Amino acid sequence: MSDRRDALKGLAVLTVLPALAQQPHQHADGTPPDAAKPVARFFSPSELREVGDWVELIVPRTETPGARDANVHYLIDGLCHRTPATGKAWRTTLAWLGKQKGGREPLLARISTESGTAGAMHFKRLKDTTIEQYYNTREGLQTELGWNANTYVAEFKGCTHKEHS
Amino acid sequence: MAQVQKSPEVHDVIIVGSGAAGGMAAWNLTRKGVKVLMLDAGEKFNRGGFWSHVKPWESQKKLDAGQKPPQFFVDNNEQPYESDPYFYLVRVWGRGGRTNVWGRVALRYADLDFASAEHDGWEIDWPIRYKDVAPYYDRVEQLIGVCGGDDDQDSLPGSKFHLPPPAPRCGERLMQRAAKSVGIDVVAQRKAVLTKEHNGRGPCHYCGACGRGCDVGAFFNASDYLIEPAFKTGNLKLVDNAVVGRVLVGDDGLARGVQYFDRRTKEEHTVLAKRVIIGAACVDSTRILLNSKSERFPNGIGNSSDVIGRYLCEQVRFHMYGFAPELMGTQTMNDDGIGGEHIYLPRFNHRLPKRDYLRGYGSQFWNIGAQPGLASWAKQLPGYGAGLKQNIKKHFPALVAMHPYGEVLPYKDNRVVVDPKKVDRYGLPIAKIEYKIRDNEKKMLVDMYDMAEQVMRAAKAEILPFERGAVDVAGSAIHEHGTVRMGRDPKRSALNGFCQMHDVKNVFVVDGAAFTTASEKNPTLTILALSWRATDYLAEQIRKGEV
Repeated sequence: MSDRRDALKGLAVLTVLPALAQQPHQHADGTPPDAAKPVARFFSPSELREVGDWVELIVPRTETPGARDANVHYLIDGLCHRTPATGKAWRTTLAWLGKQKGGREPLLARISTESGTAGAMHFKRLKDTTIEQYYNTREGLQTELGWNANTYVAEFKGCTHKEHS
Repeated sequence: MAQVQKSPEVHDVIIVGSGAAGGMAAWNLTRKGVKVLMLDAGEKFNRGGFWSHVKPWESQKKLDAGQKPPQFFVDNNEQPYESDPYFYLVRVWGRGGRTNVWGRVALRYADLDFASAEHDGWEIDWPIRYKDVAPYYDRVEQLIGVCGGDDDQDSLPGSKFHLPPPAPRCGERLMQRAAKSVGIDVVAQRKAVLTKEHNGRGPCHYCGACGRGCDVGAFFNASDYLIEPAFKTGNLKLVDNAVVGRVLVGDDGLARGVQYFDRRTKEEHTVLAKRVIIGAACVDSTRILLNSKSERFPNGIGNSSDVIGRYLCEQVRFHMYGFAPELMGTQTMNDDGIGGEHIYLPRFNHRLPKRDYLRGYGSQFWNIGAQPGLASWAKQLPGYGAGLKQNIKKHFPALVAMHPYGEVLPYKDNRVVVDPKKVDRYGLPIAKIEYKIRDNEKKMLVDMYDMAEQVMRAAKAEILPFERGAVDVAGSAIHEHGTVRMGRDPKRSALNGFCQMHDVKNVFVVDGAAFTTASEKNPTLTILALSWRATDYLAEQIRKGEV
């Protein structure tokens, strides 16, 4: 559940990164983001917004796209749509997170250091799935990490650094 | 009851299976003028449909759109097997078999392997030595193209036919340097990948996606490299979707043909031949032989010794990951290369003064550098938010890895059996695998962990948490051997040194089942060499009219 503190934080991010906020992100190879707008098939609009807020906290937009830019919330929606047990687990997590008081950031700070608690379990689901999905997207793998492989290369030069010999 | 379709033609040779073993047998026999009928349990894979160049973010979209990558692997629901404890059995039914997606590691066995029992007395000796196989290694390497170095070891014989090795990645150089600093040699990996044009085939384009099948055939696969040339001789006929059930035995005690079922219709067929070669991969070959019961062979064809099915062996392995500090925060490189590792750590433990176990291990190094699929380690980094994102980026180019493989000894009760109470969709007993590692492997694992940690620490790597002694699931090396082993004594082995059955002279078994021991090495190069050698022998026997 969004609260006033989160809203202010969100505004702060937009202030710091006005250029990113005003224009669509670019991929490392200069191509625009995928044109097709994703469609949610499992979550309600409000649930999808919630998931988008949480995944953005796990992998936020910095000078590169964040989880929301990469549509990680839609990718999780797809996982839930394809596997009912996953959907059920995510609704449980959303319900648990929604019941906690004190704002999202302090909650994450707390449950990220716990072990063996319900909070730890829900944090793990949130973090693991966000990472699994984000770093398989073009935004995560190519734009953020600079991976530009699985392509045709005429010659593989390997390591060219003398200091590694 | 459905009528059995019987073909009146008697073929020179029937070959069961189209992978490395069967493919080589077909290639060698057909070029010598022998008429061959090959039975393949699947169909030819469409190379143009491989997902070699589908980026990670494109896969799900394609799946959602109803597209599918080639279905290489046999669905266990279609052809079940049992195991206790669990054994991970990977099967590819289709033209070329597992060579469509294999790891491509092409290591020569040494006399350290062939003569291992002579040295330590465990179980029986191979009936052949390196000198017997070396000419065939030479021929295979020239035929298929194997890249590698000239940095051979006593445990890893060299070759003058290697294609140039690919340059090591940064992380591989660091691991090589680290190993050297603690007295362990790490050499260029030997792989059946074309690093330059070879026999009219174009070279690798370094996309790194070999595990999804090569869209240009730049690594050896039996379909393109062996079976297509065999077709060109005019001496090869091939039946797709032919799931072999049994080898049929005549009144004279010799094989007279094969029973198979159409995979699509389940229709039963019988085909006749003067000789039968089995190369369906270790477990399926064993299942076929054990199901080939007759009055003369109540225990399965060629099994008077009761060794068929026994002595199943492969390798124990584990994975250790870390991050090289020198590479943290550096610019991401394209680390694809020829896919998998470019370096290899050959067995060295036989040179050490004292061991409390038999045999040895080597190590592979795949996944070094900037590789997709990072979630498995990225999730283990602490925290969340911008700090976590930055930390993942810093670690991304710096991944180093070791994957040691250790030999599992042949044990009589590590075995494949068939259970008449549990049958497949054709009504034939399915395979059941009974396999576990013992004290020798557990002791070796201690040494393997010590070695891997020593090398990682010498590289000053930030090692990811690991459980000392943990071992990858049985079968995961996908190197099953030993269940129809060769040997000198017909009472203790099923085959002679030419992969010919002691009991049934017109049956040959040319896949990994024929191996007497597993060694620590990947077996495909040796399977190819032994199949070539066996079929040279068979062709000569045919010429002399002796089989």
